[in-house]
Amino acid sequence: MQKPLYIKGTKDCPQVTLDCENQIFEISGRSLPEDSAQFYAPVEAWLESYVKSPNSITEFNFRLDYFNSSSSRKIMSILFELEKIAKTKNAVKINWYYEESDEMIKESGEEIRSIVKIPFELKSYKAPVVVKPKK
Amino acid sequence: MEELLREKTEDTPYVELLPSGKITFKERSLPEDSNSFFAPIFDWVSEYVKNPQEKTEIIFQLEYFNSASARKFVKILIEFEPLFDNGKNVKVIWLYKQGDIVIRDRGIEISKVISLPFEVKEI
Amino acid sequence: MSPEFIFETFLDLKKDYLSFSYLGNIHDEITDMLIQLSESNIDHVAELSKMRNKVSFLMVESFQNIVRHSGNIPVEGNLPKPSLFQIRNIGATYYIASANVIPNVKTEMLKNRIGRLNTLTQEELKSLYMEVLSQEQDGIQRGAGLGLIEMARKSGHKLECFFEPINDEYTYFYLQIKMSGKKNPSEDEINLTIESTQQLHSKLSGENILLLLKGNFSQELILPVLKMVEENMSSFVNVHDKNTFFVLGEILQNIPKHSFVNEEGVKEGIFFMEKFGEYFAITSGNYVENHYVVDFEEKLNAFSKLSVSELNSLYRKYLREGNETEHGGAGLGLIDIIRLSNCNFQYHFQKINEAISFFTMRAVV
Repeated sequence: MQKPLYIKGTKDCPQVTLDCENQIFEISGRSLPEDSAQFYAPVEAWLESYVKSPNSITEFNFRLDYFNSSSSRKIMSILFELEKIAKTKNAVKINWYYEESDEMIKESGEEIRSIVKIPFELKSYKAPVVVKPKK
Repeated sequence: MEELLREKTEDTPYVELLPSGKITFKERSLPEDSNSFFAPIFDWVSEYVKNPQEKTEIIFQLEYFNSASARKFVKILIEFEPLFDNGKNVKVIWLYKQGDIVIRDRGIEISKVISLPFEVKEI
Repeated sequence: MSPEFIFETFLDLKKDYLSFSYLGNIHDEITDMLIQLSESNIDHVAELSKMRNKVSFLMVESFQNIVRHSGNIPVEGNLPKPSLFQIRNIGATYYIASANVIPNVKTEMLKNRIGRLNTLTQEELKSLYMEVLSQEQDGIQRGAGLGLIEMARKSGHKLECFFEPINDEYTYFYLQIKMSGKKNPSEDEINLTIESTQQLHSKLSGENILLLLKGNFSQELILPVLKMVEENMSSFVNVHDKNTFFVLGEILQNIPKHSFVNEEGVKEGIFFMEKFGEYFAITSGNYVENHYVVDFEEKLNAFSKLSVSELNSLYRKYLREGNETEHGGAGLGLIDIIRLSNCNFQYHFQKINEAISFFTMRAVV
């Protein structure tokens, strides 16, 4: 089985977990690297090999707060890679999470959904309430 | 007596006040309102000095602090002077990062206004 | 930099709730601080807080657009002006502007591309975006124009551009994005032209300014600026850098401590960091109430007559004994600023009316 890929998130790069054994496929946080090609290269390489012998079910989660336009290209390339699974007898599904008041992430999800040819679900969640100390 | 712990934030230091006599301030101290940030620390210290341990160690390992915080640190150290005068073992350890002579010199400056054993050490 | 220049610039930016200009080497490390900076100030207008994410998005796109294009350009030293990144918030409108050097050969292409985007409706921009996004492979150029399309789309206004030739090879490319929280643009308080942005850029560059910040001075505004400066430092243990940081911290925190609070509850102030030979000059300007100008001026006057060693003794004295006034603060901050500047320190009070004066101070470190 393919070794898992973990990338710890930073202030401008997302957290990535690609783990076949535990069936976790997720990209979360902010994706704002200026050079997104560099950041996403290991992710793309991992997926390229994964789609050759995928799990029978792959649920891929996007939980992004922000992403820049150069990341949106990379998100597309991940999705195009995942489309290859859909052409086999294996199942693939995308969950696109957005904070319920975040119109921008929701809208991006809708747009991307209309481009890719895989089951794609938009899921809203409530942000945990952060109490900011006010003086 | 209970311990007092504060996680560091962007503008307040990591604080660890242990009843065992180990007191630590780390990272950065530039709170917007230094009075309200340090108030619980002073309360704790004045409680501690009433019934202190034989040995007290006060450790500073700071990266940056503003002048208002410098004044607060000195005020805290002043609280410990009577303990030392009464024969208790009290020691200040001022740690600075390798090469950070600005922080080193700020420590030396504080040591000059405090009557406590004061060690300035590179880490 | 004269007190007149400081006050004049402050008045030029009178309507700005937040005004931030960064001149210099634009790199990706400060993206996160820029988001923090704009978010710290966005909640004061309801219409704006709704578009918080869009503003942050546009800021990042605009900023990275500069980073992306500043590859093959001459070193900063040979340029008449350094690159610019600017955010201004006036009323419910946000302006994000950038200026960077491009080779002349790119001028026509950019002009045409922006011109064409400006003729498209929202619907057309959306289809263009979708079309580019659905192309499987990356274009030859990174981003393949997706950034500009997104800027035009998310801003909801025409992109403004301006080209200022430098020489036979290079040109300054100015790009300004407007975002309005108001449905009807005619409700906007002011319309900032890109020409005025270009003029401000020249004016700031003429004074060697690296950083200009005007706004409501609070801790939320100060912290991202401190972080930004820190990110630009070679190391956080370098003596000169660190002393600069100490002066910077004291001057920035001094503004909200003494500032007059206006009827909107705002502590309005201005702050500059400028390159001064091998040194930095750090300048602040803010209103103070007249009734405590006398005290304040007396204190500053006394401090600035002292030598560094006298200031050191006084600092130690106050450190030990305190000298807290009703406004809090023992004057330690001011002593620290003056001694670190090696007494290269100036201050000035200008009476505005019966209630307030404009106070400026400047330290070279």
